[in-house]
Amino acid sequence: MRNAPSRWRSVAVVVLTCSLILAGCGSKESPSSTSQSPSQAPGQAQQSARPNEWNVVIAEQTGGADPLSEYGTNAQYQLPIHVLEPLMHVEMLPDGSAWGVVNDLAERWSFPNPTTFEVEVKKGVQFQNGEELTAEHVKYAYDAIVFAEKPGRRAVSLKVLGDAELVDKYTIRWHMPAPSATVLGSMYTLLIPPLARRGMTAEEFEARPIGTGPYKVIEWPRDGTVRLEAWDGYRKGKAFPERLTIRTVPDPSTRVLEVLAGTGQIAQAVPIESLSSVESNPQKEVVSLKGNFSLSYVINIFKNNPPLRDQRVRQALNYAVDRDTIVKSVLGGRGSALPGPLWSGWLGYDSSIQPYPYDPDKARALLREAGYPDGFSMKWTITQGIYVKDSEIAQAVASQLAKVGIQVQLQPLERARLLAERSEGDYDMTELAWPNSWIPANLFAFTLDTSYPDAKLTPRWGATPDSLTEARKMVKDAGTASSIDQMATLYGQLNRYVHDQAFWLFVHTVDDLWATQKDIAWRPYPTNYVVFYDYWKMAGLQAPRDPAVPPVLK
Amino acid sequence: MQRVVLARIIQTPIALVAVLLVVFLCLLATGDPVEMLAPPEATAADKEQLRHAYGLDQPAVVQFGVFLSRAVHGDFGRSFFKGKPALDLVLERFPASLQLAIASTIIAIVVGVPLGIVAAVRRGTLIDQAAMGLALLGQSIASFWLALMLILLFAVQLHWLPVSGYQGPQYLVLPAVSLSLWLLALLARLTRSEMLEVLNEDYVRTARAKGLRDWAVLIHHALRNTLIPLVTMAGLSLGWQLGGALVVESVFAWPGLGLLLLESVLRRDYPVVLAGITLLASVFIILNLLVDLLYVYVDPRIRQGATSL
Repeated sequence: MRNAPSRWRSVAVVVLTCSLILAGCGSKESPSSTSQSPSQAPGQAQQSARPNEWNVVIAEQTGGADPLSEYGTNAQYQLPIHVLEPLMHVEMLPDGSAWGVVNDLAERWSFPNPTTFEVEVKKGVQFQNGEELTAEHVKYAYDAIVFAEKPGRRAVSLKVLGDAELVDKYTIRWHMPAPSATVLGSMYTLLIPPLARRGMTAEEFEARPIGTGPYKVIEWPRDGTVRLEAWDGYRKGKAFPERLTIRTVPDPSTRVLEVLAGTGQIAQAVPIESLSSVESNPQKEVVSLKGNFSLSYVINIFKNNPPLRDQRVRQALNYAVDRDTIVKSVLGGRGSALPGPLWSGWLGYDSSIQPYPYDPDKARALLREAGYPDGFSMKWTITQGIYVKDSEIAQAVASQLAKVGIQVQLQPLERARLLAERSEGDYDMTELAWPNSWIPANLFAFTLDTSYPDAKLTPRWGATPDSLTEARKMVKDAGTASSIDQMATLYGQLNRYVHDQAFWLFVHTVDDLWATQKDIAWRPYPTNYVVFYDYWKMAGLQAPRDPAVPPVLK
Repeated sequence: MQRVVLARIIQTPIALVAVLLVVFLCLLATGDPVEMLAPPEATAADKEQLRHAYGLDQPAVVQFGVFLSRAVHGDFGRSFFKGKPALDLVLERFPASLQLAIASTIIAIVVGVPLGIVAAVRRGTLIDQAAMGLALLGQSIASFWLALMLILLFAVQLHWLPVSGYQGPQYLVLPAVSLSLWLLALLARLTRSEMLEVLNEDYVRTARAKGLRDWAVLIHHALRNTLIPLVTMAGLSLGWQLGGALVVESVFAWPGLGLLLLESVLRRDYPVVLAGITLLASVFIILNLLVDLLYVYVDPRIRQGATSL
């Protein structure tokens, strides 16, 4: 038998271990004073007053607030925009008629000639540390990102601007190696820090991030809970709500439960299956940005076997798919049939281009005409659980194709593997998920250039198809347009061409979905990176009453 | 015993290199980090430039060699995607994983072992059936489902505990309970079967015949002789829970190692994956060694044997 002191020692060890675990849990972050306590019943907040503290749960890691660092998530662009600002970004214009470029720190911008981009920054803009914004700030940020020793994603997008030159205190000029007005679509990634950042490491700046934006950082541990406070000195007025807490909750069901429990005000990316649980609660609502994302399948038009080089076969694929039924049954109606490469909101969108109608007889007739009355087989690479209902949609499309004789072997792959196979041109048909981002330069570059490594494909399948050569010429022309109007015309032509050539199997758009507390009355603003404060109010606009916000209001 | 410890210490780096090599080759064969790093519009030349900048244009053997030579000095390189030293990223997440693993193991031991003892002592009764029914349920229930049910009950309905996060002691309760259930059930079943075996032994009968109280017989004579398999199971499970609590970490937004490693594997962020694997494999090896040392403590026969070696 052990003696008494030994027994007590054991008890003490257990108690101490438990205490350490519990103390460790509470050591880093205290619960937000702004949130409802877990014991508070949902909906106990006063209905009449709009809560001034919002907790937002997002799917991705929150990254950090240093605009010169990479954090490996899309949130690295979305969240810092609350604190730092770019020169300009893309969103629905205030008149609600279309998307376009909206100036942030830029007073005006121009292309004096096709290879020169000039921006004059706003005068009198102050950073939260009192620094005044100048063109030097912009050059510093640009050079640090683009000429980094280990360049990141942004560097690849922005480097088309070439070398930056300071013209005067408030003007910066870029000398581009080739004309590229499409860079306007990537400018939102160039967030401007104060020059004080020069003397700091990324970690030091992350600890005390400073910007010109509507919020100040209270706390932003890398990939941790972000706590922001509206900045009194913001030049457009104080943002609402006063306090914003943003944290990562990877599991979609848990995000919804945060809203149902009353501890979250906004939950991002609500799964279709959970919509009813939110909608059935009178204090919650599902808020959406309609058709903000699309799903298509890029067809490998080099291939003769399967016979995808034949336009009639590609059109047959498109006629064989009942998009409306898929949207209704798989997406619960939270989307729409995709008309072509571009849909409402894009530069070059043409409402006269309609989705291919569901016409299996016509699909069969086209296959007969092309010499494949019994159809053919092909393989098709997809992701599982990366995009909304990606594998379910693929299975539905595959079963519809089977009805016209096209047998599809679905190959679920990890995204890294899928992208690698696409770069090698090793696919018959492959998934394409894309958000609305106004200028379609990257969309077309991805689908018409990088998805077809000619050097690898031509030895096996023959010369580059004429239709692809033509489309690439159109991409180049649109990319080097000298004005936005001209770009719109050229992308409009390309949109129609890709639709008629059926380069892709067009499927559907899907809404961005959020679960929210009704009393915060939050509506997303149509843009490629939605912010989690009342942007409508800040822009002096009336937010739509309808929780389903269209990409354009008119 | 010293020889056992020494042998383990010598085996550790060999085992580590073998594990790292296998993981590295698997990652290399199934995807290219540059595909995930580059934006969609990146051209082949852009990707080649990135490959060069990150040293990914080197042959696999060279890449692995460079990694090993740096890792020996504690430098696992920087994350391709987060820019930060890989080891720092892993160590940042380790405390959260450790807290969760220790808490869930303690719950499993504190509840599972007594449950097994009671079931063995009351063999064939309703208590035994209820305890084993619970154990069966614990082993067959999907952890994500259990986790969501616990949230629904204790956070959404009763508002006793928070839904998810890592902000205070109360945030640990539901993840630890969810994670503990499988091990708890296993320990309960294992304890019961071991106890049933031991309770029929002569020395237990002798102890009872000496007039010792029931609890003293159970704890000091019976339970002590069932400890080896229990210690083995609890020790190894602790190691598994450190890096394998993916589902629970995901559901409860618990910032542990599992989620970081999954995210890094999916993006082929080699430095982070390899740093994480090194840490986990080291912990696993140390735990194994500790379990072996505990055998000596709980079973005098092994101590005798070790001494006589």
